[in-house]
Amino acid sequence: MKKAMESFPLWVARPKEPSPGTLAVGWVCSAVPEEILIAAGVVPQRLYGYEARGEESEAVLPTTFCAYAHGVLQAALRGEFVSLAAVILVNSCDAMRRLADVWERHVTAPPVYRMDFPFRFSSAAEDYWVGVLKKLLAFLEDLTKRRVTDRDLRKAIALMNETRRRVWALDQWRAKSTCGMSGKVYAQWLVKAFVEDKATFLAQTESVLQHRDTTCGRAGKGGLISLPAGKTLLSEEEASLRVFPSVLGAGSGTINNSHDELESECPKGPRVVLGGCAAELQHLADIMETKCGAHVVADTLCTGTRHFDTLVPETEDPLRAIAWRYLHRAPCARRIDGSDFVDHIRRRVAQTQADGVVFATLKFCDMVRWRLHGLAEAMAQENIPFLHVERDGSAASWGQMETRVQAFVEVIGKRRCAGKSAKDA
Amino acid sequence: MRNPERFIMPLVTRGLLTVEKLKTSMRGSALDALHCETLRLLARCYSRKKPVVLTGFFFPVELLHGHGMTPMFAEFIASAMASTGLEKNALGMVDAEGFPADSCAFHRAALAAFLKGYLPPPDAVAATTHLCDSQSKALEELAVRFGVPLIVLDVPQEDTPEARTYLVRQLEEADGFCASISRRRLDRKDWDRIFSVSNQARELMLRVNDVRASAPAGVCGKEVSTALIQAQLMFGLPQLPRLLKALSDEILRLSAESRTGASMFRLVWLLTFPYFKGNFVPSMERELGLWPVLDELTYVYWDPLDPERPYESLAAKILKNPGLGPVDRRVKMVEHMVRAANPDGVVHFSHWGCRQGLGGVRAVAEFLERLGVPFLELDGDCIDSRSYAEGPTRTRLEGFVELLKRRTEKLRAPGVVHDGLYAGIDIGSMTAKAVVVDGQGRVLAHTISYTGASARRAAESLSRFLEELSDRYGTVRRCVATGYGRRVVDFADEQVTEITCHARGMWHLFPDVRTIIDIGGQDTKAIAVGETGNVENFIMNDKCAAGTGRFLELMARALEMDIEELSAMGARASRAVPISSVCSVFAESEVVSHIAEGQPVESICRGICESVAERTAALLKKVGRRPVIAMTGGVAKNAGVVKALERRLKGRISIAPDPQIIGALGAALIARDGA
Repeated sequence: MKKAMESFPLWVARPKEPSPGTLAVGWVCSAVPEEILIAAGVVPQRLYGYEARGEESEAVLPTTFCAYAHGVLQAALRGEFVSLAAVILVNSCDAMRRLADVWERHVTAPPVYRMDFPFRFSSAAEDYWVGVLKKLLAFLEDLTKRRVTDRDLRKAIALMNETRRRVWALDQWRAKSTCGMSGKVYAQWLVKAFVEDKATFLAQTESVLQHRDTTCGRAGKGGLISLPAGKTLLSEEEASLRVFPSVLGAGSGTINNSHDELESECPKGPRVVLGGCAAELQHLADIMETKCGAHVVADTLCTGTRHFDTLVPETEDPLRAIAWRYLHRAPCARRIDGSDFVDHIRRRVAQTQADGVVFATLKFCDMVRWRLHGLAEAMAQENIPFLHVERDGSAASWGQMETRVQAFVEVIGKRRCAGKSAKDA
Repeated sequence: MRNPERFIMPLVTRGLLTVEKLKTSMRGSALDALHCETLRLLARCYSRKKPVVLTGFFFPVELLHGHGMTPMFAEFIASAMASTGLEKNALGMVDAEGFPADSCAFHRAALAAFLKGYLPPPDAVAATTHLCDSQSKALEELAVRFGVPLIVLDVPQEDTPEARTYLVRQLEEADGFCASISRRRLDRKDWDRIFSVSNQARELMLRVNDVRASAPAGVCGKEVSTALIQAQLMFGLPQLPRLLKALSDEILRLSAESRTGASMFRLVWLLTFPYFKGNFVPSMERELGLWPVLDELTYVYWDPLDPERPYESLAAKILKNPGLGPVDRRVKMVEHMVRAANPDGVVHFSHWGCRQGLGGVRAVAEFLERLGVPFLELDGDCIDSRSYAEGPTRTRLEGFVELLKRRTEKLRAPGVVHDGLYAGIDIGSMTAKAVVVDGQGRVLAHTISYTGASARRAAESLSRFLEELSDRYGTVRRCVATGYGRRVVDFADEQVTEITCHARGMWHLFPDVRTIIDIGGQDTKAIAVGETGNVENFIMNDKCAAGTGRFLELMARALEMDIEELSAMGARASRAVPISSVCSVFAESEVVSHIAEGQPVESICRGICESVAERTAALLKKVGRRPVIAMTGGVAKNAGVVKALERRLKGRISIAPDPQIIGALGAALIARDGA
């Protein structure tokens, strides 16, 4: 089996064997509330980075399905996920739905749990969505043979919110024009939030941020300001700030030794917001920066920063609060209507003062492609340089993408210089 | 005038509509009456006497009719446009605007029709999030473009009480919105009226489906299906029940009068039909005798609607759609249709871009295999004529007919001796072959030449070859032609597809064979055969160069060697540099970059061979690979590919000694079988 895994890209995050006595549940779509999994005492394991095709997957899933669906299926068919107790597949798109069908028929273990997710965010949708989450809870309770209490949910919410705030802190650091962090390094840290348990992620990143604060200075433009002491509960209003606030800071704690691996390189290239759809962030960010000379200052991927957008309001009914957050956070291309999807990208460009947007998509992703036209128009209206590149998941298409992005970066780099010299003049 | 097209097109369309309506009303058949009624509704999209709502096919039109609005299916507009040949231009336009070219053409064409001004903008747009992703996105785009209100029903993927509640609330909301346009709320009387005619129509549609299911081949085909698909626009209108009753009576009458021809077959048709101008269905019905008697889009899946609980009824109707949720529901529907009609076979028309539909094909295929019903997956596009390939489509359909015929024919006792000589002619795109066998099936002579530019001339030269042979050895009693150019062989007694001929030829050489793989220069075929060499199932790939001989040619060129060298190196190499691209063009780039990286050429060659082997193995899996597996076609001579395939399949593959003449050999043997 190990040999079979060689065909997968190196940046795939392989599910770890859960420690004895714990169950791990795999998930694919960003709409799956990790809070609920954590509250139920299972380890959430995102199936992260599988972009590939194989003989087994091609035999049962049409070629005209994206490389993400194929990658996950190929791995499943080869037994990569047998250590998981279940895999949650959401009705994100036609491909995911059919993937669930094929999984049930051809993958012996683990079993699939199908979950629906609303396309809209009305109050009727929220009521329905709460019902769906109750069912998920019941499934997990059955799996773990233990009841989930409101207290469990609140603890999980607190943990996830803390994680989100930490990601925002790192994200802010990435976007800084001086003493910033490269998108590549950011991605390496971000992935930990997906594949490690959250407590580990928080511990590791805490010391890193502290180190950064010591070296680069706390005060100044864009510096982190901590929460007023004693304020722990967030109102729905604060939680609804999808604008990445500069108010919330990293947690405090003991100062650990600095991590050399996080010495910020502070790339000088044109500042780029990364959007689109991808199985994971690291490789993409790496190519953008190392091969194409950009500085990825923000990303809107659900396999990236957008997954951590918007806090869960710490209000009375924890389940409903969770439901609210997942319906109201910055949406992907699937949501009716598409204006929020476009707005989120625009906002990120404005907040980070980016020089342009690179929108990298996977072939056969209908959801995102139908939104592309509207997005391109919105970008043009605001004079934001915009590049769409599409790859099919093969090694060669990465190369094609590099060429295009490089050319784009050269153009926006010149634009930026021209702008600067115009200002100086 | 800035854009004359926008002005002229609606005028032209209205003119055409009027003419069509006259024609259909004069012809007087029930089918025509239904078609005429649909055209009347389409005409209303221009006259705008009532508010026009552009909807997806699964939107509950009863609601809109209740408010006196005119619904129009986006999919119908696409098919109407395609039937006139206008879709090419229109699709080109939306592609250029950046809309996804590999998404469903029904929705792209509908979008294009409005953007090009072939129709005036609707007053509102109503979409559902089922069955597929493209529908709601395309309709939302249209609503935004024209600044008209958009109703969206978010349809959950499972039929649960919570799902029904969610839909009920959305339907209430939609009703409220319609009320703001029609200025009246629907009351119990309205729902009574609307549901009463809708339920009547439902009953009658069930009846029509019953008579279709029992009708002999030749009575009901695509036209009946299309009329019933269009009829769903009118559920809630009072004229529909009468029209459906007339149709039911007409089918009964025609069934009583009909004389079924010897080789006519009844099919259940899945997904939907091609509607572009010049599509293959008329010739499929009339020439090949394949008649779709039942189809997926006209299956009645919902219960009668209850006017006391209108929203709940409509919600239940929506959620009972077999295409919703797990594919098991769809498979169940197929089962019902197959048991009702007892067809000779089932065809799934895999409309390119219909991801929700295509993703379910394997489940349907596996089910039908268990049931023992012949199944053909035909790929193509319902709307876009640009991608239609006549030859390959014909080959698949003819191959299917041959398969069906042989199931019904009595098997000839083996060992019967027929005197005389029998010839097989195989005119391929590159080479033309002839094989002559004697009464015992022994090969007497064979020849291969280049087809060149004219298949007809190649046929003539083979005819001369046969004449010379006849002079020396005796008359050639029967001749069967196969291959891409088989139709120009006038002197042949029968034309049989390469599928059946290759199967026959390989079975002759390897009586234990159960799966045949034929990788040619331009296409790949996987054929499953039974004990007597009869074709049970086949799959072809001829749209894509990957996995065919052409792929190997491309790669060999990139490596600056000839194919034999590539093959030998690939066979020798101890490891492979993998090629991940599904596309030949990308694969070539990959190869070039591997060379630049300094990877050993041998390993690259092996990677190329393994890429072909991987595609082949996937194809074999789809057709159901059972031992003994035998290989033919030009690539059978490629040791590198054969080795890679054997490694992958973990077993030996029998190789035809002379792969090029297998088709002609099979044809000759079939000629002998039929004597």
